[in-house]
Amino acid sequence: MVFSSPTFLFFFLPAVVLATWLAPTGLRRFILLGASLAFYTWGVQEFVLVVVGSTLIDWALARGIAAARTQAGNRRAARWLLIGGLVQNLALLGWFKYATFASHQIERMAEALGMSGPGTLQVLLPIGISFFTFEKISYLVDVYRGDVKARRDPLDVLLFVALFPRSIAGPIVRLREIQHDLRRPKPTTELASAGAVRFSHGLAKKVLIADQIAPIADAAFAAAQAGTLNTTSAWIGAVAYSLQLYFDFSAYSDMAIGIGMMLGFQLPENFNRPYSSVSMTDFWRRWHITLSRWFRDYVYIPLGGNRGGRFATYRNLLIVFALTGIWHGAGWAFLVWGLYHGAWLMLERRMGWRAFGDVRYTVARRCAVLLIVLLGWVVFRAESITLAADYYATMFMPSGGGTAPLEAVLSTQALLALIAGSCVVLLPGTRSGGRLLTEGTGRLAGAARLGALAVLPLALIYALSSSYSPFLYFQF
Amino acid sequence: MRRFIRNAPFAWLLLLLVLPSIAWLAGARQPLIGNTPKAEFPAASVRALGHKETFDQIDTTLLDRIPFREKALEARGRIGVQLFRDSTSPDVHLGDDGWLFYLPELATCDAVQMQQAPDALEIMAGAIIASGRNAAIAVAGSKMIAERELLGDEPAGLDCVAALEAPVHDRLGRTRGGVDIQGALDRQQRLGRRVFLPYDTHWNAIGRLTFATEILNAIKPGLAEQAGLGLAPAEVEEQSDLGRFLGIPLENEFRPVRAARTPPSPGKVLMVGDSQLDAAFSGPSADGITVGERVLPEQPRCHPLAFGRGECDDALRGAQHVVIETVARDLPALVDSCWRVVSLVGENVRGAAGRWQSVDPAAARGTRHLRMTATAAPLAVTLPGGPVSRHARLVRIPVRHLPPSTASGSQAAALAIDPGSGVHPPCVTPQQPVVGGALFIPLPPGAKAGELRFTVTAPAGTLLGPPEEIVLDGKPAVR
Repeated sequence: MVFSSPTFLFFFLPAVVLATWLAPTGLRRFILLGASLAFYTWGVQEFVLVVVGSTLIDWALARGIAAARTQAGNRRAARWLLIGGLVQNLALLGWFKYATFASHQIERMAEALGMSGPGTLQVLLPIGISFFTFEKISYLVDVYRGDVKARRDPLDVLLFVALFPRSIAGPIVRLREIQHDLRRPKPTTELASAGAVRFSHGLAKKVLIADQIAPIADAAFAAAQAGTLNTTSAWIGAVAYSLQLYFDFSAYSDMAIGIGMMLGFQLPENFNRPYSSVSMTDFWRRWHITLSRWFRDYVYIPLGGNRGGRFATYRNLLIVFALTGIWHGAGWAFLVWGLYHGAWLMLERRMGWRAFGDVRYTVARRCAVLLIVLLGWVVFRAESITLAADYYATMFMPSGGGTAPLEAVLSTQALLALIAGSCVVLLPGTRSGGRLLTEGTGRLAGAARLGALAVLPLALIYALSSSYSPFLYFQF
Repeated sequence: MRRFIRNAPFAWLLLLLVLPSIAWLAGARQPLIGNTPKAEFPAASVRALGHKETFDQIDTTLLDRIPFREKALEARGRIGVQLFRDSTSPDVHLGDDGWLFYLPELATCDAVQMQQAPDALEIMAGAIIASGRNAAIAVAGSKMIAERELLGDEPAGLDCVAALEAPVHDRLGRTRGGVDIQGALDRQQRLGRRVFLPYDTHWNAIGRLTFATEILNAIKPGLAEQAGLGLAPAEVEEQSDLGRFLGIPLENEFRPVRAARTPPSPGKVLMVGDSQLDAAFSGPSADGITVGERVLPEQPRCHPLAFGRGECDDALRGAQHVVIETVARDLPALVDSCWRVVSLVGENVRGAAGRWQSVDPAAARGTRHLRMTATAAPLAVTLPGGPVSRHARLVRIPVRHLPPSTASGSQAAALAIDPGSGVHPPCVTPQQPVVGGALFIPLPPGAKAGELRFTVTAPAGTLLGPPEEIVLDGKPAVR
């Protein structure tokens, strides 16, 4: 069930919102828990039992960690319990996300060595596993560090992990950020209205921009696969994908934040005008913010951060971005993408190019960052190094102009969405549209809110009319 | 007032989200859209929750029932088509002056069966006539070819499709039992008349009248005049099929074909065809009686899908006139199923006996009968009419004896053309389980019988009679 599907929009969401508002405060978290488990079961079926079981193990481990921490001389036990929890979570993630990839690599190695391999695995990847695994790990570590108290009630932890607005695509939340809201959700009309505006804004970004641009990117990469791509179309495809990814992902975060506000809790921001970045370091403070901070707090800083000298810092950056890469997907292309970004961050540190906020040569910097990020998205989207290499070759070695490979998908609406999306990301400003809508004051913010609400019926029309595949003759 | 303004966004969102549910409770129901029956909720069980298909089906079922979806599709269609001049369907091309075209018409470009289509049509017509019946085989050409000047930006593949369809129409015009509908429609277009409806895949009044006239006269010369075929004075309205793809309700307005009287029955007529046949013979009428009901009352009709499943075999056997119509984009499917026509009408067809030849030089040559062994062997035939003929021919292989059925299933003789054969004809009978029945291998005009190589697989002891040659020269060849 995606947020823009008719089932979610017209059945699930209003039912959950109304049930939460109408229920007594004490019952609300049970409604949220039931809805969250139902939402997740919709996507992963029986795997929800694995999530529930693993979460209950984490709850028990956290209780043990908390108890061991308070006992003098028992920090070792706390550490072992933490390690057990980390192993449990990473083993789950490793199995479901990486076992298939690993088995294929072992098989290829065996073939290359002229041996017969053990065979390949095909493990189904449950949606959202990367997100909630990180959240469970953050809970265990935060308890170990004393940043948050271990919850007595397992339902608190279960609700935290399964909370449906962010279970599939984030933002990655820390329990300490929403624990009070989850215990006794108390939505207010003011917060709910702000959430409604935010949700409308996200839905419009998703169905009116991201979904309209997606066919262009798909066609470009399909043409690359078929060997029919030309230079012009390759650049259009890369721009289209860069915009599609941003609008799709940030829209999801907007909708998640909006839903949270309607239900009485506030999720953290996840995007802050990433395509306005003036350096790659700045980019990673604006793009998928909650993921960056997770890696900063749970990997980079524990490894020593930038306190161990230059080479240790570079090592830590590479480790973090290698992990960032493979977190996004099990494949060499994702690793390459992660290391590509890590290399740029290293270079910025080395050359003193790190910059944030108001700096000189802002336009040139923004253009440079945009280009670097855009080129990185090519290998990210290609999902194979070979295809990415072909795509880059087409981009940089002139092979014909024209848009013939994309003719079928360059509709007026798609072009308008591409142009509108480009304008939005290139506009000056320090605050994301979503934050402007929820935090802004003044006429501009008011007009933006009105605009988001006015566009809502159109967005709902587009959502309701998706997946329409009629037949010429009646199907008996 | 301030409180109202503060709460309005939340109320607005909730109102829009619950509106369909409120409408449903008030009795609003979604009509059938998209030509698909509505999905049903899956059976409720805990076990079902373990399958992704269960949730997909719930999604589909809810989507099929949510009120306002039709309106949403229409709104989106109008925004796309009328505001942006974009087709909102991957199957519809927007032409000039609001004309709509069906893009799957271009799919035949990739269909290997199109190369065999002219031969297949000639063979079917010839086989039907050889069986003592009358044939009327017609192919409705693509609208994109017929109304090409209204396409605007021409989609890729159009020249390819035109090059594939032209030989089909040409062959039908030169084949006894073929009806060159395209030629008749071309004559109308040379008089400055359109033959298709602007928003539809079907012919307009002129096209339908032309088709109905040609078909009735092919059944029996002068039948159209006897029936007083013409156009009704008043127009009727009909929802367009291509508008549905865009989500926009577009109406066709045209004068329907009508028959003034019921002529003497020409005999049993079986009509196999899809929507163009339906449009002309069962389409809207001014007085509630369709052309088919008036001119050919109580005559059997068969959809090509049903025909391919064997549901019309008895009707075919009993027919004196066989009408087969297909649209050009469905020609590949007709080519794939033409063996059924040949095999059924060939039941009472006989020809001069030839001889079996084995491809294996060490084996006995020139035998009349063939007793099958456990091992299938590649075979060839010598035909009495010589290696080549300017007519299409049928090689009839009678199955004289089949061993009794076993516990594992009934026995059958199966036929396959060898990959290395110099002739790869259409309409080959795949298998024959009936003693007294026959396998058929058509030979297109000019095909060299000596280059034909095929394999018959049958249980040991199966006896095949001498291969017979039936020349499809437009004359009956019944026993």
